[in-house]
Amino acid sequence: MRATKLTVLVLAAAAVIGLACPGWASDDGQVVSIAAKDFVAAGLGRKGFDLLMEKNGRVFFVASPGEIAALAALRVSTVIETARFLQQAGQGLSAGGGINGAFHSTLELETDLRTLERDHPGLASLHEIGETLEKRKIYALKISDNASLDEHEPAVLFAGCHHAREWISVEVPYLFGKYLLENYDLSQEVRALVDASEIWIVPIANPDGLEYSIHVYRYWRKNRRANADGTYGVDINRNYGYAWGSDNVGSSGQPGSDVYRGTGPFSEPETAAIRNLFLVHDFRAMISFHSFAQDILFPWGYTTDAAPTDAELGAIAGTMAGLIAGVHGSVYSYGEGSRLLYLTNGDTVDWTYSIAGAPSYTIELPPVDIDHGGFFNDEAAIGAIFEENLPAMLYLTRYAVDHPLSLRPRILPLRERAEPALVRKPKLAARPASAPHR
Amino acid sequence: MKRTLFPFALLAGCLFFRGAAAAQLVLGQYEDEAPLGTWNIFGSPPAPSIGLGGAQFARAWDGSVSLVNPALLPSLPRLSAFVSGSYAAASLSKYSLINTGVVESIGNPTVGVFGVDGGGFAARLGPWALAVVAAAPENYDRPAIAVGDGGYQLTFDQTGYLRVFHAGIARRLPAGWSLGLGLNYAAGRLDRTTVERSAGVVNVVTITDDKAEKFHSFYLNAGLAWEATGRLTAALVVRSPFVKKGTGQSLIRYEASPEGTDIRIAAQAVNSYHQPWVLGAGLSYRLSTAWSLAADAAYYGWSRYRVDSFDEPLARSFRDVLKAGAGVEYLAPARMYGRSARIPFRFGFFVDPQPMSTVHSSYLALTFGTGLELKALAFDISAYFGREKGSGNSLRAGKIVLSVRYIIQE
Repeated sequence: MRATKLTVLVLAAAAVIGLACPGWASDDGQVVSIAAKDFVAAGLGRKGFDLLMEKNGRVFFVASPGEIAALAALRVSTVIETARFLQQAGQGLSAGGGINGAFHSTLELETDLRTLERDHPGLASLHEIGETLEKRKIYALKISDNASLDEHEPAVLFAGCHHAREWISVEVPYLFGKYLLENYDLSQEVRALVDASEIWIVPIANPDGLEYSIHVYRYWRKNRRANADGTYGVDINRNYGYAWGSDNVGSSGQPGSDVYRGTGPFSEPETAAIRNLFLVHDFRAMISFHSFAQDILFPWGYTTDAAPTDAELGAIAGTMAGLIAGVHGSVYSYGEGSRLLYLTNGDTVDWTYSIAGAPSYTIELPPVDIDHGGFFNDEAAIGAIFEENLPAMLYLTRYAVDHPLSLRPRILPLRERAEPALVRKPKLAARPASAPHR
Repeated sequence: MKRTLFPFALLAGCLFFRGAAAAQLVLGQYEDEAPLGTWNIFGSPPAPSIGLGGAQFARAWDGSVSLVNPALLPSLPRLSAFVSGSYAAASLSKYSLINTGVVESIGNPTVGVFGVDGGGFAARLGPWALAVVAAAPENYDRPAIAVGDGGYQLTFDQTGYLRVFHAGIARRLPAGWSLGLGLNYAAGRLDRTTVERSAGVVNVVTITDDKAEKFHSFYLNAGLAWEATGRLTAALVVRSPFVKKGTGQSLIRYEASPEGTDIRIAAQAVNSYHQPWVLGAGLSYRLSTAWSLAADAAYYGWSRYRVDSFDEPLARSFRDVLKAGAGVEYLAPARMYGRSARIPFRFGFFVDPQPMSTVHSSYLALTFGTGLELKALAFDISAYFGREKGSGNSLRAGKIVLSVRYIIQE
């Protein structure tokens, strides 16, 4: 019994002292504000302070402890605002951190789009065009000379992230919008395009899927629909209403499939949001960004038959491929989606093209293949990928402004399809990372 | 002798319980940071408490009471020590990439965890009493997954824990009152790794998603106890809200051979988990020298729960919940090796609603306990077995706890 008592004492002592402890973090530099008149009077604008903003008669900037002391010596009254800024940062952050690195999350994108709208009043207006199943907003940024007005100008759509894992497809349209707004006053070409058109940018068509891809499983593709059989997700690039479910090759009726088309055309809030946007404006062209492969695909996707304006579509694609190659030498192949890649039905560009023959393209961004990253892109490559696509986007916008649509009305009627059959769950199964669908 | 056999039969029965600590519905019940078993964890109840439906606010057996109600420390012997260990198991339905779209299972995966729940000392000096306790109240382990065949494999693993180092002080006041305060340092970690490997004829692609977090925090707990009569004790307890805060590191990596592609997205951030305040009340009533009752209710302010992970707030739609439990105890006199002893028999239940507001999930658990109390040494073993309602996933929760306490000086 004495041994038992001793054991209790030893164990109790071990439990108290035997369980571990860790460490902390800190930072330097402060955000301070001073009255705007003091800022001017002290000539601080000429002294290279890192100016953040001016609000309610106060100027906000970053200052070192030494600089704060120097301001005090000048009898300039300062207020330390760091905590306030940190609080605001917690409520909304730009891309450039987090587990997704330099790529945007939904929240980061919302913050950056709102910043663009705030910094470019009159040129940019942000629209909530839909709400997802998990209650996230789908945003469209409209860029035009009088963005808050509907001037019935030719419209062009640039959309990204139909597929959750294709993170680079968020960045290219977003950076295009940023480029247009930041260069409106600097570039004649940009000003002329923005004045003559409505450029709509939907960087994240599938926010729920993107968040799942960031936080849970990097290679997630679909949205987050809870299907009736317990599987998740509809491939929203198979859920559009033109030739929806026309066969089981270009999409699947099985909910567990990576190319599951959903229970009906536009059954998903993401596709309904794009549809509703597209139908109320005079869209004359669009690009839906995807990855990977370095391809420029145009209709049709659902059949290998040529589209009515196949020659025009091919000529535009060829011009865009040439412009892209002219930047960094990247080779993008181009052709009908069904022939160059594989059959797809219910995809975005077949539907947008079907509305009135609007030149519609799927651009599969780099890398070229799975050996060079597949659905991954190096953060450092984001800028270069945007740069090489920029002339193509500018060209297509100019083309849309200059070329009214030739085909009206719709080319083919929408089709309906019966509810697809459900499948049983396998006992423990996972879909391979190298799934070929892009 | 027949009476002494009964607890062992009860113990044997307990060992046959398969089960779990709280499991999942929507991601919510088993978000990555969800403790295995239940979100509603306060203190580290020893085996006698578990046997009484988790009641621990108005009844003290050892120094572990200081984690919830240090005001009861003056009721303990002059100097005592304790140690507790447990086996906890939980069935989960949806967690991380399991049953949320990538890996599917028939039936709920179950995980079991052996571990030391805590240990410590309590001492009494006149009207004052002190305690030093270390405890491991939360565990974040998940059932590991490995699926695939020769050409394709996917593995997922998550482990984690929270440990609490506690010092409590209490003072006996006039008229049966006593007041206590505890200072707690909580530290823990959470590690998750997903690896996906595809091997073709010539190329091999490996995708790794590694996340590691270390967090820590200080918080206070306090209690007020009133020994109204020799039979009735009432208590109020409170735990301050606190923020588990610390460094998180993430690496998402894509490797492909033979091209030698190696793409990495690395991140480091200060993550924080804003834990809620808890307010509780308890009663214990001694019916006779052999029979007693105890009951607890604790209100968890989960509606203010917030998570900031890698520079982003994560959506957690939680509501406040009230967890309640009660139990009855019978102390049977016995003799062992010629010495007088007591054998406790405990039975209880608790209702443990989970905080997700989208699905109202709740565990109803039955608890059992027994043991052996000698003059200075006591062994207790208890178990609970809980079934969940609300999620539609028939989740289970269970735990077997063994505690040993030793009175060094009466």
